[in-house]
Amino acid sequence: MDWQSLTFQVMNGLVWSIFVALVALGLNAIYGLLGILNIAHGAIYAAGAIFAWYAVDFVGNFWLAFLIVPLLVAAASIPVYKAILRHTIGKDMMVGLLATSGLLFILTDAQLALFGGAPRTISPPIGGSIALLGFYYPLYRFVAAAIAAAILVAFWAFLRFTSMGVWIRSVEQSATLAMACGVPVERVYLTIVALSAYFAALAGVLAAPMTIVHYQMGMPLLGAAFIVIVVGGLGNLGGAVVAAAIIGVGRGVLSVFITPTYAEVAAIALALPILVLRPHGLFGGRS
Amino acid sequence: MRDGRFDLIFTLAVLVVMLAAGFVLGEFWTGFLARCVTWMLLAVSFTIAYAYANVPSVAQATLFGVGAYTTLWLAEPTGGNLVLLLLAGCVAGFVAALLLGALVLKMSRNGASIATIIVAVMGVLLGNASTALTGGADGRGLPKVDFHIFGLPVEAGPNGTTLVLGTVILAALLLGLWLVSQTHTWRVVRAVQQNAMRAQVLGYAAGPYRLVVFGASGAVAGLGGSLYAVVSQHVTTDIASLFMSLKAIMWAAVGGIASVFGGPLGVLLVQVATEVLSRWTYRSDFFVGVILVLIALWLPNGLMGLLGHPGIFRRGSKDAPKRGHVAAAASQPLTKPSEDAL
Repeated sequence: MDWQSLTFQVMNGLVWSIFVALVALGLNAIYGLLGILNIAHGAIYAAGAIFAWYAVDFVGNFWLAFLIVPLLVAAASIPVYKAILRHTIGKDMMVGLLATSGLLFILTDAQLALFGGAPRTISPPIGGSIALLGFYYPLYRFVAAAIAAAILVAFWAFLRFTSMGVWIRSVEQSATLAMACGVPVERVYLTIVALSAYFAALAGVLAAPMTIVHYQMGMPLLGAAFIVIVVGGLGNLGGAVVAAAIIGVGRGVLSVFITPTYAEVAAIALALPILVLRPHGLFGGRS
Repeated sequence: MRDGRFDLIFTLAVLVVMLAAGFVLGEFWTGFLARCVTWMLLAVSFTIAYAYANVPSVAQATLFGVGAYTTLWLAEPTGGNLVLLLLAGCVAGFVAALLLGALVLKMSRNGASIATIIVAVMGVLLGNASTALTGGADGRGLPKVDFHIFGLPVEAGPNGTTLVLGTVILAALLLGLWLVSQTHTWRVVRAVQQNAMRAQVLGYAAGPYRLVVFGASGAVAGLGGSLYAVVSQHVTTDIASLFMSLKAIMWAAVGGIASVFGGPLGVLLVQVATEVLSRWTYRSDFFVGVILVLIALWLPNGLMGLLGHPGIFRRGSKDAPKRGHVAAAASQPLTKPSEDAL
């Protein structure tokens, strides 16, 4: 067995899982609070990567894109929430699924019109690599993963220690009771939609130098994000992170022994026994 | 007519008009509508899974793909016997749905929906990896054999024969579903769909009922896939993709998801609109997206809602009261019992 390859793939799996967790975080929050399965979430991730490419191409500064693009995308999500999403809350899940499917079509086609169908790349803003257990790993991947992990921790702290975090947790348990207690439920919904868009766009910006930028790049990640949400337990943020790590590392380890495609299938298949034994996911108590 | 007779007659009338239009408008539209009929079966299969088995399945296209590939693989061994091929597609879809159902029916409604996403993603990945069997994203062609039904030759491809064949099968299916809906068994199915626990307490085996209904939805999807293989003469893994399943949901929702008659209408409206729009603009997907959003906001019961079908969107989901819309939540007393409470 080639231990260097194995360690390299485990590292890749961990980095990948942090990005999936970041995307799943927003998806999970919107599901947990608004009850909407947001099919358009992957298109927001792609929008982040595409705008990052434009920022690098025109301004030549990746870190400017890192600061500005997620904020712009989050701001754009506010009118979308007010005009569309808020009218689907509390209705049958199919209404939300239909509305977000429509948004997916709109966003994907707009991105195709703007960006074109050809895949493009962005050079990593931080070059070089660091020696680790006998192999060299790209430094930018470490930095990007560290930033994404810091965002996850910051969000946890936001939920735990701020009044808005308390409101979010109370609305997640019961919007009706929360409102009766004076919680501004509408503001909580708006905040969570904006934060969700911010996280997805940020993941897109950070992932852009590590992958190929394409207008449909969000769809595979959306599938992965849904998987980690259900395996981690619907509405459970920590569970999603653990599930992403299991699948990401599993995929990395398996890819040493079998082809990458079969490794991906096998890693996803790891989720199925978990779902059979625990239908509500690893950490899911809710139904 | 509350027994759905009007919906059935209206849908059959639409199918007759579609058939006539296919022949009047020329070769292109004949082939186009022949493909649409196969998608109508896919849309109907989603409605059965969603409205009667209570599983918002995002893997119906996977079952559609199972039917299509079964037909592709068995075309030569069966000597092009279309009855056997369509039956095989049906059975393959049914068996695949039973296996999937055994996993997802234990879960909550939304959990089941996401689990079907997992299966859909895995299905396409496996299909793309098994290029020797499926041809991957490039696909495989239907073997050149002489297709026949009880000895009568049938020309495969997007043509008038397959349009008539597909339309007759769809009409027979809709008629059969309407007849079944008049039976006592169907009332039990509806009772299980509305509240499985209540039905269980009343002595009905809710689990097996849901499993069989979900299996039936797979059989319809498999039949559609089988017919698709004959019409298109080429099958790729794209037809089993998550995107295709989302399209099936979209068609069913546009037509009206509370009724099996809605799916065919939804396919016709969306696909014809897309085709017409694509002649005027490259951005047809954009406009389809706008239509979907508008329908979600202002016509949530779909086209069948316009015909006075009661629909199911007017009631919230089981979980709705606890994370409901602000206005809806405000208007409800805190002690209001759940609609589904025993």
